[in-house]
Amino acid sequence: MTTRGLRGLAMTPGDWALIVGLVLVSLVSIFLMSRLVGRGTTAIVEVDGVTICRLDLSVNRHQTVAGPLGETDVQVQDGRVRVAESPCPHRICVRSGWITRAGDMIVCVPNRVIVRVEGEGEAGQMDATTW
Amino acid sequence: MPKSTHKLIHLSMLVSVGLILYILETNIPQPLPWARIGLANLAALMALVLWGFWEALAVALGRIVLGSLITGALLSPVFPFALAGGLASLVVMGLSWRFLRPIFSVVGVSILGALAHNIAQLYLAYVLYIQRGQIFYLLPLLLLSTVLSGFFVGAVVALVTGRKALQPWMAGGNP
Repeated sequence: MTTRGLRGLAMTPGDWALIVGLVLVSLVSIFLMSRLVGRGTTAIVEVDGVTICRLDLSVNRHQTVAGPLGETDVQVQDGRVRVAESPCPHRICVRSGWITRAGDMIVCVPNRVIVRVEGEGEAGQMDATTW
Repeated sequence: MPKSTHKLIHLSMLVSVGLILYILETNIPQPLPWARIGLANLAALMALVLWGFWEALAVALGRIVLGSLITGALLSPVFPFALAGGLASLVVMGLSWRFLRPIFSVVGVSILGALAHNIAQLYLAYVLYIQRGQIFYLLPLLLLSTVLSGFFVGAVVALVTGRKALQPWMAGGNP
C-alpha cells in the first residue's frame, strides 16, 4: 500500500501560501499581544479594601501602610513594586517578589494589604487568559 | 444498484463518520468551552468533493443535528456553535471549491473551511456570550490548531479521493 507521502496530496502553491500565511499571522499576533498587556504605571496600595495611596512606579520610594497586624513596607524601584517587609507570620507577600505589569498584585491576607499595579487604559486590559 | 440508492447509502455513511468524529471531538478540551476543532467537517468535505454542495449540506446538517441529539446537547450552547461552525465552514468550502479551485487544492479548501469554522464560532461567542472585543485575542492560538486540523482533514479527503482503487466508487460511478 503506497501513499507517496505528502506528494500524494496534490497540494498547490496556494495551499502552502495559506498555511505559511496563517502560521505567520498567528505567531506574530501572539508575540504582539504579549507585548500589549500593559506596562504598569501606578501601584495602588489598599488596606481592608480602602485605597490608601497610589504610587507612581517611576519614582523610587518606600511607603509604609498600617494594617491590623502592623506596618507593611511597600517599595517602588525601577518601575517595579514589592512588599519589602511585613508583620505577617508567613511573609508570603514579601516572598512574592517584584511585580511590574498591569493587573499584577501582591496580597497580604493577615494584614489585609493589597498592592496592585494599574496600567494605561483600564478598559483594554484582559482580566485573565487561559488556554 | 440505482444511483439514488448508491447516493443515499454513501451519504448516510458519511453522516455516521461525521457523527463519530464529532463525538470524539467533544472529548477534547479547547480554549473556548463550546467550540470544537472541526474534525467532523471531514464528512461534509468528502460529500462536497464527491457529490456536490447540496449533498454536503445534507451531510453537514445531518451530522450536526444528530450529533447534538446523541450527545444530549441539542438545546444547549453546543448546538448553535456547532451549527454556526459547520455551516460557515461548509459555505466557505463550497464557494472555494467552486471558484477557487486552481488556487487551492482540497487541503487548502479544508483549511479555509476550518478557518471559517473557528471565526464563526468566535463571533458567535462574542455576540451571544462575551461581548468584549478581547475575545478575539484567542484567535491567533486558535488559528494554529485550525491550520493543523484543516490540514489533517484535507489530507485525509485528498488521500481517499485520490486513490485509484477507489475511483469506481466515486460519485456517479457504479461498480
